[in-house]
Amino acid sequence: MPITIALAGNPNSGKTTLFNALTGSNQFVGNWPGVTVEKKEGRLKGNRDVIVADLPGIYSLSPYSLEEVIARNYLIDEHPDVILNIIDGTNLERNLFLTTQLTELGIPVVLAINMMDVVKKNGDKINTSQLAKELGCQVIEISALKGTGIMEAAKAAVDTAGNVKTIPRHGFSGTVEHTLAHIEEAALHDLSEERRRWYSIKLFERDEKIIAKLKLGQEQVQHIEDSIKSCETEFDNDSESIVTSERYAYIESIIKGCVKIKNKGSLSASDKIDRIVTNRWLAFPIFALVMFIVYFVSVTTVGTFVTDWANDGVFGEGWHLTGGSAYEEAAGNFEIERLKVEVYLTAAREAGLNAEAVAETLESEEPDEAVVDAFIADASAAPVAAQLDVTDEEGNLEETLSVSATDFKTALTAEEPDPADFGVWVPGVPVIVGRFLEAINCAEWLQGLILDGIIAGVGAVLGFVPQMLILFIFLAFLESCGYMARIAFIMDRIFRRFGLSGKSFIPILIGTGCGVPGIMASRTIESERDRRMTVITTTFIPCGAKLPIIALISGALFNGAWWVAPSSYFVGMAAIVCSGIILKKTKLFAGDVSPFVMELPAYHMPTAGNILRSMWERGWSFIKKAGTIILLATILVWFTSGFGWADGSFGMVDMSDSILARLGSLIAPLFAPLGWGNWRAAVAAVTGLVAKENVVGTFGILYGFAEVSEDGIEVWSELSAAFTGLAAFSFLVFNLLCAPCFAAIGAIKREMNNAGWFFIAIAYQCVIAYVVSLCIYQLGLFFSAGNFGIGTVAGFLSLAGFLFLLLRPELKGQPLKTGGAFGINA
Amino acid sequence: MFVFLAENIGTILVGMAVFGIVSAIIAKMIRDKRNGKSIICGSDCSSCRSNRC
Repeated sequence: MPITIALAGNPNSGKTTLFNALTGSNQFVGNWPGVTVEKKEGRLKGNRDVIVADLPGIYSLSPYSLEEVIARNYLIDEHPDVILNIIDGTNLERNLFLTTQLTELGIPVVLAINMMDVVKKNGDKINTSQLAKELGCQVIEISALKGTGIMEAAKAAVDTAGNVKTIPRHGFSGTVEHTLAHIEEAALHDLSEERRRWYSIKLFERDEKIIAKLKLGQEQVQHIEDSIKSCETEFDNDSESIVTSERYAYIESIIKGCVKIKNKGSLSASDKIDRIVTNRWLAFPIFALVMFIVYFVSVTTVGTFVTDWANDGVFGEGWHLTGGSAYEEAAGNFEIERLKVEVYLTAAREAGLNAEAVAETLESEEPDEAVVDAFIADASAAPVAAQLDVTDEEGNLEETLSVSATDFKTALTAEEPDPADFGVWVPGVPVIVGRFLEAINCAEWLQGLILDGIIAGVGAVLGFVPQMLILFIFLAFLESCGYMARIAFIMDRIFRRFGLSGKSFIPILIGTGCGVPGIMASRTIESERDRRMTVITTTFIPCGAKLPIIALISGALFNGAWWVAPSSYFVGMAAIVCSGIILKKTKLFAGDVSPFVMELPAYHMPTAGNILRSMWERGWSFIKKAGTIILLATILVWFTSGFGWADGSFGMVDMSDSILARLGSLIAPLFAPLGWGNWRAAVAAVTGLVAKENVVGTFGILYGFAEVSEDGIEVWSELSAAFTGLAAFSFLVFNLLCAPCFAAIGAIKREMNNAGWFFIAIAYQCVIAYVVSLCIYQLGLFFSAGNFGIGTVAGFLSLAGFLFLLLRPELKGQPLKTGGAFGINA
Repeated sequence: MFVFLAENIGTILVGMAVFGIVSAIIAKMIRDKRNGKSIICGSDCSSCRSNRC
């Protein structure tokens, strides 16, 4: 007979960490309240007959929020065999409030005091045996994070299930007990004895859901109501408040006898950190610095190193396990020899010699030696002298070499080094697959589909996986240590000024991983007006799928400049803040900001396991997407970019005559004012609607990432030639702010649940993306190069309109209507 | 016929493999769609905050 253990406790008390440790599951863990919003089940490690159910964190068994309803319904309807109540040892008073309610349910309870490592570190003492006596249930000390005491807690729960009854030790004052007895007698005599207590208290509190569940008659309800009113008159308070205050009085008496706090009244380590990171003046600069470091390291420094390896190595020509530096030196020397030939031919042309014949023969596979010798003879007689400036990677001049006819002749004999001759060389995926397809005599069109379509497209996306994993490690660390919860608190101060609540920041925070759950998380916002505004603005924050676009633009167009990646995050934040101001000044959104109440969890050092698990879950979903929807999209893009109608028949054509080129050319003029009116960029932006990574995949095919890398030329050279810096940044900003992918658009549609609101949301996102990109390109062009035209006028008019909407006076809206608050301000 | 097969066996095998992979992907996406999962959002639905309704 299987035993069910229900894990119940306050939000952020460590239930999911314990659940993962007990069952070996990989459920998402975060150090902020409300990570788990639904029940999850797993089997106990080493005893498969025991089912462990992880419930959402709750503060009480009153149905104030959806999570509390889920947890309460499970406990009272499914009646688990035992409740393992996890409580935060550093905050016993608040946590025991729920414990006093759980012990009334008639279900055996075992108490697991979590974070005992922190309690001991603080020098505090909890007398667990005394606490067990007071509460009438077994008490176990654990640290879910460090894994201490957890199996003992599970064993105690299994032993308790069905064998021990938990009888609540606490009682209420005489009048309340009298009323409860009255209620039991009037309405609950059909229930088993151990369940009557909890139901009578809930009826005393006028819990509507319980009244409905018990299907009480009007007469019974009136009878109970008379008893309650009489009690309320005596206490001069409402029934719910009477029960709450008596519970806390009881808890206080327990705490006095069982807990010794070493430094009572002094600040904890978390409090001390919070004095700095949530300080009125320092909070925002610290937040900005943290996010700058996260994006800078992820995309520019460590990220660039690993992504270069992935793009140029794994999905490029290949990489060296050993001997890489020797090859690089040889390749550098060969490049110098190649440049010597180039500069000498240029100098010869400038000296009036005919260099076309020799240039042509040098480009052929077997150069005509006679032509070459004749040219050298002419050049020596002239004489032609050339100079070559050798620069380092940053473009700094290293040395200037003189190139003579003899040097030219020597340079012609230089052979390109084969990377396989240096150390251990691992060829890249396109090289291996290409060789295989050649060996089996595969048709050229199929080689094209696999190499130039699938590998170029999917490879271009997968090449950014290492960069994303680094970003996900940072985000997981910030989430687990407790800083993310502070960011919501910090942002509330800023958001509130601009019409958004800090509550809106939770969806935005989740949206940094994926916009879909971010949009869905807006459901926790009670105010419909604020919820809609959050749905509209959440996808402005760069999600994981936009990271490849940021990294590609940063690497290919800005040579990995330090400011590009962090600026994309801050552009997203600025768009959210500005949208808050603009929308709040419209009739649709005018009104007070909803209140924001959130418990700030204690800081703790996250475990490597939790961080790696979180990183892998997010990264794996990205890889899965590349292997499914992105792969199909790349096949479609390859087909439409390689086939079309030419000379009245359908078949393989030049890319410029393809179906995609024709379709892209129709929409490209729309983006010309933004600086990227070429059909390839327009098509990439549109394919990004399928999934944002598709922008990179489409570039991979249309700018032939696989092809150029096989030639040994810089992978992104064709792409970088197609954009100016301003146009590239305008393209990046447009893709960051415009309508998100179809999945997120679907989520917006579901959350808005109204066609009008849905179109308003999508239209707003597209308009704001267009206006911001237009201003960046046109005004950038005007201020940097002095270009003035109709586009500049449009740019200035857009800016003026934007500023007007931003700075115009506020409208007075309807007063805010919200549901009950369910958090506790710590 | 045999000559054609012998000359194009590589293309046929690779083509069939690509076709098989693409078919499997489409079949999985249809299956996921029928099971109410998103075919574009690659997130793990079991741990998704939005999976509560």
